[in-house]
Parts: sequence; C-alpha cells; structure tokens
Amino acid sequence: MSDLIKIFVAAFLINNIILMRFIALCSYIGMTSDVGQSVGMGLAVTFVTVMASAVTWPIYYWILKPNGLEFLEILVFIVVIAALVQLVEFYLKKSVPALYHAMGIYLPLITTNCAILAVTFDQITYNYNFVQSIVFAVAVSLGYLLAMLLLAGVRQRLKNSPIPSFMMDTPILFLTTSVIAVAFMGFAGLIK
Amino acid sequence: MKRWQMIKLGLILAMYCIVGCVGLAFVYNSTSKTIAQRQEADLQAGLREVFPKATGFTPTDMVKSANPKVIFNAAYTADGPSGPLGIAVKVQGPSYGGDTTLLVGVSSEGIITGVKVLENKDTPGLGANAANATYYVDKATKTTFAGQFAGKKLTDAFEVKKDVIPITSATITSRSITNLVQVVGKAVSDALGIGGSSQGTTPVVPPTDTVRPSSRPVTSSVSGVSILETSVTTRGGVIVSASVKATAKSYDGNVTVIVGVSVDGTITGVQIVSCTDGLGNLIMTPAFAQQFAGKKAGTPLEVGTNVDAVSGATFSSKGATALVEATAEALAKALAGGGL
Amino acid sequence: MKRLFGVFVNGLIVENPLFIIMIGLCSSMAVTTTVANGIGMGVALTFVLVMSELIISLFRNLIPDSIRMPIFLIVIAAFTTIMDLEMKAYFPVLSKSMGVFIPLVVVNCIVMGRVEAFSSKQPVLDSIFDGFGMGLGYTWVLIALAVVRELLGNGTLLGFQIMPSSFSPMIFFILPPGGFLVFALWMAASNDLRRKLLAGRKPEPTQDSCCTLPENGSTEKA
Repeated sequence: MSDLIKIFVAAFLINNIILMRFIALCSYIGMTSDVGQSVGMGLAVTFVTVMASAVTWPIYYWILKPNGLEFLEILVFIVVIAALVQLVEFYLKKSVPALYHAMGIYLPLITTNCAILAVTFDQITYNYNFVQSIVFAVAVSLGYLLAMLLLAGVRQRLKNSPIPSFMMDTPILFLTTSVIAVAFMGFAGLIK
Repeated sequence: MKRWQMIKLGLILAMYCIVGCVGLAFVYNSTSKTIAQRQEADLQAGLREVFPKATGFTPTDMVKSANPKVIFNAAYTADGPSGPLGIAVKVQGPSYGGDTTLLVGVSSEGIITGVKVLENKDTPGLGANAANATYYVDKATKTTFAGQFAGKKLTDAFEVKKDVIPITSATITSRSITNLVQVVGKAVSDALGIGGSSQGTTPVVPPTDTVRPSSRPVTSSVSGVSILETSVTTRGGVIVSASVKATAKSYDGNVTVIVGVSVDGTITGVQIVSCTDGLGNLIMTPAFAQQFAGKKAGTPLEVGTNVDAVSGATFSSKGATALVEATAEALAKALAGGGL
Repeated sequence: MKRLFGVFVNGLIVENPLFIIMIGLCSSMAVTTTVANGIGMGVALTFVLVMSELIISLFRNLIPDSIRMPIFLIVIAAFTTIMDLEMKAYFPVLSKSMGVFIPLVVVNCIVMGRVEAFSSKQPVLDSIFDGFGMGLGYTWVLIALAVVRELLGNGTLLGFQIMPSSFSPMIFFILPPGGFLVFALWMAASNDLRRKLLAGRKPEPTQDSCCTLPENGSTEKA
C-alpha cells in the first residue's frame, strides 16, 4: 500500500507532469484561457489516460513482450490510443450524450496529447505492475488537471493586470508557470 | 456500397500498418545487433574500469542480494594472474527517477575497487550528474561521485554527507547509489567470507565467554516480535549473559537483530543482521548498533531522544529500535527468571 | 528556387514552430539542460519531420481523406521508432539522457501539424524544404535555450568549462522553473523584435489546431 501512495504523491505533485516534466505544455497554454474549459480538458485527459494505461499494459506484457516485438511499442501505443479515443467518442455520443456535451469536444485534441502517451511509456520504463500503472495514470492526470486549473485561475487575474508590453501574451504565462513551478519544487522533500 | 467503402479503407490502413511494421522489423534487426554489441562492449569496458587490475571476467552466481528491491543483474569473478581478485556486480535498484544501474567491484580484501554508473534516470543536471564523467564532487582532485568509492573499505560508514560527498541538490540520488554500493559490498563479503561488513565485527557478548544454546527458548510478550534462537554465555559454568536473534516487521520489510544482555540487565551489544526495507541497509552501519551497548534493558528506547536515527532511514531506525527494546526486555526477564 | 528558399525561411523564422506557432513545446524545455541534448533532440526531430513529410508528400494522392489521420500517425510512429533505435545503437548516452522525450516525438505537434497542413497538399521538394526549415527552426531555438541554461546552470558549454572557477553555478536554470523562465524571456525578446520589425502590418499567427479548440468548435459540435 505504501508504495502505491508513494507512486501517487510522486506522480501527482513531486514530478508533476506539466510543471516538473514539461509534458503536455501545448494544451496547458492552449486550453487554459477559461477555467471551465481547463477542467473539461483535464477530466477528459484523466478519463482517457486511465483507459489507455489499462489497455496498453496488457498489450505490452501479454502480446508485444512475449513475441519480442518491443520495438513496435511506439507504433502500437499511439494507434491504440487513437482508436480508443475514437471509440470513446462514438460511445459517449450514442449512450451518454450529457457527458459527451461536457467532454466530447475535447476528445479530438486528446490523441496528440503528450501526457497520455508519456504515461503509457513510463509505466513500462518504471516496471510498474498493473495496479501500480493505474494508480500512476490517475495521479499523473490529476496532476495535469491541477496544473491546468492553477494556470487558468491565474489567467483570470492576468486579464485585468498591467503587464509590461514586451511580456504580453504567452511570455507572461511562462513566467507565471515558472513561479508556480518554484512552488512545486517544495514538494520534492515529501518522499525520501 | 458503404460497407465496401469501409472495407476498402480498412484494407488501405492495414496495408500501411503492415508496410510500417515490416520496415521497422528490418531496422530493428539491423540495429539490435549493434545495440547488443555495444552493450557488451560497454559492459566489458565498465568491468575493466571498476577492476583495473583484472585480466578477465568470468560470470558467477556466488553473490545474492539481501534486499528484494535491489537486483543483481549479473556478477563476475575478476580473474588475476594468480587466482581471483574479487567480484564485480552489475546491480540495479531504485533511485529518485526510476531504477539506477551500477557496476561495483569489490576486492577479496574487502575494498571497493571501483564504481561505475551505467544507467541513471534522475533529474538532468542534478541527480543525473552521478553518471557524468566531468561532474566532480571534489574539484581539486577531479573525483567524480562514483569515483570517490574506489579504495573505500567495506567497514566504512557509507553515510552521505559524512564519508560520502553528495551530488549538489541530489541527496536522494547520492543516498540510493551509496546504498547500492553498500548492498553489493555486503553481499560480496558474505560470499567470500571476508570480515569487514557488520557481520562478525561487533560481537554482542564478550568474546572470552563460552556460548551454548539455551535450555529453554525465550519469548517476547510484544506482538509481532518473533525470537528465532537463544543462546547463553557462561563463564566457569555460571551464566553471565544471553543473546537472542529476533525478527519483526519494520517500515516496509523485516528487520532481524541479535541482542546480547548481561545478567545485570545491561545490553552488551547489538548487531543488525538484516533489514529489507527500501533503504533499510543504511541502518546496518556499526555506528547505529553500537549506540545500544551499555543501555539498561527495560528502559524505553526512543529514536530522537536516546537513540539517533540513521539519516535517510528514520522509519527503519525506529523499527530496529523497537525490536531491540522488546528483545532486550524479554531477555532480561528470562535471565532474571533463571533456568536458561 | 526562390520559392523553396521562402519555404525554408518560413519555418526557420517567420513561422518558427516554438516562438510563433507555439507547438512542440514539451521537449523544448525538458531536454535543454545541456547544449548537446538540445542539438541531439533538434536533429532527431528534424529527421522524423523531413522523412515523414517526404513519405506523406510522395503518397499524398494514395491517402484517402477520411483515414488520413491514422495513416499520418502510423508513418510518424514508424520514423520515430527508427530514429529511437538508431539513437540507441549509435548515440546510447544521448538516447538515455533524453529518455521518454524521444518516443514523444510521435505526438510532437510540429510533425503532425506540418504533415497535415503542408506536405499532405504540397509537392515533394517543397515538403522536404519545409521539413528542414521547421526542423532547424526548432533546433536553433533549442540551442538558444540550452546555451543560457547550461552556461548559467552549470558554467559549461557543450561540456567545456566556460565560466571562471569562482563562478558558482545557478542550479535554478537547469531545474524546471528555470526552463520556464528562460523560455519566457527568449520568447518575450523574439516577440518584441517581431513587433518592431512588423510595425504597421498585422501578421498574427494562426494557433495550431492540435492543441486548441477551433474558434467556433464548442458551438459547432455541441
């Protein structure tokens, strides 16, 4: 149990996927102009990441590895994720329209979201077992949601703040992120 | 019509997929040999680096890891002109950003001949400096982090910030690598039967006495503590002290200790036999065990007040301390009760 | 020839993927702790980009529109794997230090974006030049970031000691926050320069579609 908690805290805060590992920055900048939007995107990513993690783990350990096909990892994972996103989109559209309206519009953006692919590679690199992989996927994607929410919140304030003209638009966002990242460095001591 | 369209698209997609996979298979075939050769060459070069005097290396399975989280990928006997010089181990264990792989060479005299970091996934610029050949922990002598272990005795404390210079801002990496080196050191010294590790160097009872198994086993009233063996030491037929080997759960593994107590209820010595916690073997330094000697059995022992924890392994220190306390108390009671 | 040069410069400066279109950001900060890593990543991405653009452009008439995305993904993934394997075989140290960011090239929006926006519609030669332009545009920004970070954070450039020995390295710059800060400042400088050069004209770049919703996306789909 304690190692699961360790994995969770490490992936959620200490190695936060956006602020500490720079993964999924595109959507972090592109999708945080509105708090609602950032939460929607965050939840959609969480949903797909956990599913992708649950699907790619068996594929790697039951199909690729026993047959010596590890070199197809990248190709198989990205195709599986793309197919998964399509299926989720079809299913939600037909069966759960309410959820589709909340989340569906973000799904096309998710195939190329680095966070999901990074999680599926990392769980292999770190030799996680199935349960650890799922916990890791949940933690990483919640970390993603947290970072998105933090920046979206700050951006609401930035709209009405006097910003030096040369720092306008994106530079100020990265400057803000730098400060948030400094705060996150403080979590590094949580786990020995 | 629409169905035909779908099948056609599916076929096209499958074709691209097959062409892609076949192409990759060819590339993989041609590169996998190079990768394997390179890894083999790296390994040989690394082995020579950690064992400069050896003339050749023969795989061996003599050494076993005492810690389940530390894996020995391979071990080699370093052959010299006149018999084996020692053992080199390729060891893999947890660090900050995933597993780290090292090559560690230990000579038959109980001296570390060299350490090389083969793989490290820690933070670039910080922990990853462990594998950086131009990052010096001691700029004056151009000693790298791994380089500083060469020439170290297995009896040394292996404590980061004391006898091991850490990598700046990467204490965890420094500690995990030190820990791995120490695990290998212990395993090799056990395998070759060399003194120098904590085993055998800290007798828990005075060496002049004769030791015999006790006539009845000692049991502890504390739950979770199981006493494995009990022996008593006698001087001229009179019992002067007794010692037991006991084990209990610690942080995320088990800790096993040998505790000796004299008839007047004083702890004569403690030896930490093994600790399977994540960083548990940090507490196997003689300095940690020595601080129990001279304490009265039955007095509460507490990390932070009358026992100093080993930094980086506070929980393991606590686990071991609780076990020593319980065992010493049981032993003192048994001695007072007589009939051992 | 002039047209090809224009395509090349477009990627290098006018539509620089990192500073102007702002795609492919992830790897740009993660690997720029040392200049060597920055160059390695730049070359790796340029290889995947040029090869993918070449193949897609060659086969652009044989790719049905409705399944173009999966096919793009397969082609890009194949070249990423090739690059990954070659790096492991010939540059093992570099390959290890870049870790997960090599396989992540497959979802690097620069590759996907250029393949979709450019080479699936343009002739082969143009696509190759576009690939080189974009790839080098990405690489020089990486080097610019890495020079600042390695020099201030470690006192070295390409591993050689540059700063005097009395200089104590500011580790901040190789830590994640430092990466964000250096990127923010470089981008501010680049934007400022652009504003001055293009004063009067209005060339606001189009945001790439792989990371943001289309303008009317929410109303259209909902």
